[in-house]
Amino acid sequence: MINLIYTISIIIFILSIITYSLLTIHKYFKTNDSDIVEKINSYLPQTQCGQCNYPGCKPYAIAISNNEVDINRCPPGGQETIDNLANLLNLPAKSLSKDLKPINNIPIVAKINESECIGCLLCIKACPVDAIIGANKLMHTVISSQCTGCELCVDPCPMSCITMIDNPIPIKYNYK
Amino acid sequence: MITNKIFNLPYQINRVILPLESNYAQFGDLLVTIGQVVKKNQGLTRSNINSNSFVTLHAPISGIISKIDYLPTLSSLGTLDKLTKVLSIEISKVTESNDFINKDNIKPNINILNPTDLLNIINQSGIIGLGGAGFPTSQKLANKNIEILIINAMECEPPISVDNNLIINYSSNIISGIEILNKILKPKKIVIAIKESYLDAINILRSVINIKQSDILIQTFPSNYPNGYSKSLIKLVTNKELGENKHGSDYGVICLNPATVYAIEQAVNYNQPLTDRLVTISGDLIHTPGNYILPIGTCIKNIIDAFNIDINSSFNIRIGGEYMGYELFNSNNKAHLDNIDYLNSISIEKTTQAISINNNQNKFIKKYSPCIKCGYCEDICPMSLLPQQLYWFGQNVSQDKNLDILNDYNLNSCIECGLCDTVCPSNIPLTSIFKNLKTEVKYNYYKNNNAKLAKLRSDFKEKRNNDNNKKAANDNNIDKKSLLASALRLAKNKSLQK
Repeated sequence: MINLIYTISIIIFILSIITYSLLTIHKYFKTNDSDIVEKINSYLPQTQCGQCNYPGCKPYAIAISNNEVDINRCPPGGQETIDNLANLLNLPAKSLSKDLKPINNIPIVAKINESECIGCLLCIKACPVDAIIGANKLMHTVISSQCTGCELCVDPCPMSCITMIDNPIPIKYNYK
Repeated sequence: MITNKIFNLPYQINRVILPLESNYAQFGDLLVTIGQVVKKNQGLTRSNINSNSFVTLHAPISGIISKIDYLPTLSSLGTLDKLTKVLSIEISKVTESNDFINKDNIKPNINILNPTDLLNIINQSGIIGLGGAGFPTSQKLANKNIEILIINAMECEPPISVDNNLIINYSSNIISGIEILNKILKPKKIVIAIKESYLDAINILRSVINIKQSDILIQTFPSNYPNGYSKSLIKLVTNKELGENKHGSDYGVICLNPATVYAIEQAVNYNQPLTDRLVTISGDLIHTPGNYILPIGTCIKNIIDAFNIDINSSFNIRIGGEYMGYELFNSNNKAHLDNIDYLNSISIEKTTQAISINNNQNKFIKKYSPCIKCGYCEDICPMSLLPQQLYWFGQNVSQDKNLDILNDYNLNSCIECGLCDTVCPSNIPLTSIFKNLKTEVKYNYYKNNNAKLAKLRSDFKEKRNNDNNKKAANDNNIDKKSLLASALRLAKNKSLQK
């Protein structure tokens, strides 16, 4: 009988030590929620286009970290972003969600036809990355090197004088 | 064997095509329009000495501007995807044959001109480095604190013999060009680095230097490849090894090749802008191989026609040397055959040194097999890189991690000399793989950097909007309180007056 009590008490003692150590490890090495969000966000293309139905890349990252939404809702990132996110979160890789339109690889930027611009500030308010400059009743223009090609400024323009053009800067050569 | 004579192309050139952009140089805003008559040596673009990547472009022949178009060019590095704005000038019967004459065509006295004037002349004459990279010479020479000027006559790739030829035929011009450079740069030491095997050229240079009694040093080096590459040459001459992304000018050294020096001399002494250049034309199918003086903008098709080469036969055209050059056209390549018209529109540029046209039958077709990790490439790499490792990590390049590793292995220091290709027992085309990887890394860096900036800006905008909202709410509260207080005060005053 006394042997049994010894055994049980020793087992309980060992278990309590293990539990305590695990708890302390958890306390000190706890992954921060914001860290995961930052990591997910770093894989997103930062166009802030809102095609995922969230107002920007960070809100989408928060939603992914809360398991609210699938990882395949980012058209500008393409398959590369989905694969990277699947790797990061240990999820199966998918193809882009079918209700979204895939984007072709050529980067595009907005261009304002400046002779038609009336200076209404609507596109400036719409631009998520402050890439449009101009003032009230004065001509606006796009800083094309900072435009992410999100197309959010196209719809608000009352003169419909904003068009998307191919961004001529980055070129991928293909050597034989 | 290529002779020391300089040939003219046995062909009447009726049409030239001039790209408005080269590797590193841009030729500024156009001054001419379609239909305008231009004369030889007339400036076609506006250059700007202050933004030095702009140099003037001149008309190599008299004629009419017939087209302004976007076409592939040689400086788009062997790819047909990138299009550059080009001018084409055609000779018609209307045009007079006399050349455009500068306002002050009198030989200027070099002693009067100060360095800034000289730099201006070099910029206005459209001179860029004629060795291949095409860096604007005026920008190179604008560097202060240059201690050593190296004249790089080390051309080390087999068919190219432009510099040897120039030295033999125009040695006194080149020496006076060096004196002009001496005036601009005031270096402590001027070295002409030349191949041991160019005995004639060395003798001629020695005699000219003796006559002029200048203190120019002649140093000879073994004709090993790639001793002519500026980084290798600077190491040979000064014992300084250039770091990653560093140029000679960071260490007080400038390299110029004799062709550039000759062009500078012609521009300063004779007011002759850079409109022609020497090109080595060689190969099986060329019956008189040699150095030909060609107007810049001569189409490749004209050269094929000049040597009576049958366009339907099996042949290939290589631009540049055996190692660093690339194949422009190969009749075995179906994509090339389908777009054969591009030979009509691709033209000689200021940076083109050599063309070789060869029969396809003599070409040994290599098949490549997997890497066996022999390490021969590591022994031979002149930049002491690890091509084997670069190749290994380059295979799965789509992952971000591998791009970082490639940077750690200094992919960007690869000078694309092609030596690893030649020693590889598995015949892996390493150099072209590295070229592709370099652009991939560059593209990725560009993309990531842009994403980072976009994130910063969107975060800032969000923060600003939040602050504005808070402020507006606060303002509203303050406004209501203050209005109430002032109204009460007014009421009090009125009641007191009563």
